[in-house]
Amino acid sequence: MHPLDLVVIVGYVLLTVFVGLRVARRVKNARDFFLAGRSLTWWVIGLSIIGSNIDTNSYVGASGNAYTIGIAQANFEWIGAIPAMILASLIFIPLYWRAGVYSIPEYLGLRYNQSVRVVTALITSLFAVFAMGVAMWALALVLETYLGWPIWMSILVSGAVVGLYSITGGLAAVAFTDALQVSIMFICGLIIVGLGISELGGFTNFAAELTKDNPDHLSVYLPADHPQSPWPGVILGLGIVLSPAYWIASQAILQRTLGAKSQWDASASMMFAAFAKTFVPLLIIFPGLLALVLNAPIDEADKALPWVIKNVLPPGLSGLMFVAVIAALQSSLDSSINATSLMVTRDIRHVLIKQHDPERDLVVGRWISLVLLVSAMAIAPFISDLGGIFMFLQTGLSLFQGPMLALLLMGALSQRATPTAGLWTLISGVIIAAGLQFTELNFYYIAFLSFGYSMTALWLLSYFTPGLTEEELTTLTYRPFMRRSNS
Amino acid sequence: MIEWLQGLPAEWGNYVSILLFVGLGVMVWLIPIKAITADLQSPKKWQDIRWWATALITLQLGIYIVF
Repeated sequence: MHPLDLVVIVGYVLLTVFVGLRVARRVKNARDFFLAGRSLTWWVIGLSIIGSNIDTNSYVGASGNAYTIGIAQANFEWIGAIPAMILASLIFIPLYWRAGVYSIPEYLGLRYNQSVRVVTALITSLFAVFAMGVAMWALALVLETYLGWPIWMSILVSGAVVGLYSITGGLAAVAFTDALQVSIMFICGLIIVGLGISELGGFTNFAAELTKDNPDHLSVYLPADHPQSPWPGVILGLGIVLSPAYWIASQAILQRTLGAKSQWDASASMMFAAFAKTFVPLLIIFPGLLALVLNAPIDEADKALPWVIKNVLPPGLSGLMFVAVIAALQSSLDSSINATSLMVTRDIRHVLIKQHDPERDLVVGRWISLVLLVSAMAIAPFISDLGGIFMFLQTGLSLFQGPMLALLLMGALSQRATPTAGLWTLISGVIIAAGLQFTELNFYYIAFLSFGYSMTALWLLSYFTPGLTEEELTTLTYRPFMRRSNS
Repeated sequence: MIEWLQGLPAEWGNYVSILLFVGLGVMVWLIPIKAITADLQSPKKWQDIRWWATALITLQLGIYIVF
């Protein structure tokens, strides 16, 4: 590694810890820790949302997929994100904000019942611990590849750095460091695009070279019978179900919007994030296409990005790009720690332990953050052995998304959905989705069908079961056209 | 139904996406301004995020028309 690269990396780590610890001094209670004292401004939250959204899998995996299927991979950033982000910004975030909740399970608990709250919090938290272990493992692999550190040392150092600012500073530290990290990612991404395009003599030459042997690589949709990315599946499964389920229901994403200083800042932050999201393919898709056009001698598609970093970027900049990959991972990891800690502290502990003391939430939240981090560090070295369990949990989460989206949509947009119907729809919807796993359907179609079932079941079951009162529904449903009383 | 879907040409994906974004654009402007700027004392024009959404949708329409 070039000494200049090393300087850039050390400088980045010190800057992150400095920013995180500086913000940490403001934390006095649980509201400061979990919601940044409701003080965050829209652009910080917007950048932080993108930071939490992009992880190393996005960087390495998306570049690899773009190398194989072209810009169709960008649908995850466009139709698979933007419509849902607009809906989240204009409808759901104002609703969560007005309900005064700390988390999405808490909203579901108010709208349906405490069983729905605990079930959603439990499933999401369990998955998050394994996802953090995978993130930690991926980070350790990157450090091992570039710096030659042993895996255990990489895990210890990266865990200590992330833990230092996220456990002391809570959401505010996470949001500010995320904003810094995303800025670095965008600077690096734009430099790669600039250098790549100029090396190929302009965009027209780049496009001509790319489509010469790969005619579909500049088509945003692939044929409807494509095994990996059929366009109807992308629109129905990704665009209509999986993407809204993520952008409307993900605690790790939405928690920072609940920490905004006003409802407007919360809504504007998601819209700002959507603008940034539109340009994310430049960071994570373009390197894969560039590796293809430059005839990179790689045997696996996932090696496209590392090859571009090593061969296209000059010393100093390759260190900065390496930093961007670490930043992507850190920003997802710290968000996940804070969001999961919140769900365990409030949504599970508050409901299951009747004798809990809310005054102790800050202390408990910090301890749970530490336990989560240590658990992820402990799981990380064995992640390849635990692959089966992780796949099981990941499948479990995907089974859960259609029914959960139905509960949120109907719960927020209609007064009809009832608590009992919500719980039974959640349970039966997951069972239906699990049954569909045994068919040969693409998972996009499974998501769509389980969502369709859940909407129908919730609608019908609510007809026979008692709902909440009009007064209870006032702050829990979205009714912008209602006349407000002057009292 | 899935088999029928699998027989549709890929360009239809672009047309369906364009329709979805146009529909979303209409929906955005059905939301009253008061629901968006409820907690602002004297909201300025740029704080009407329905315009942000419109710019965003226009960008997306461009992408799905070109690619």
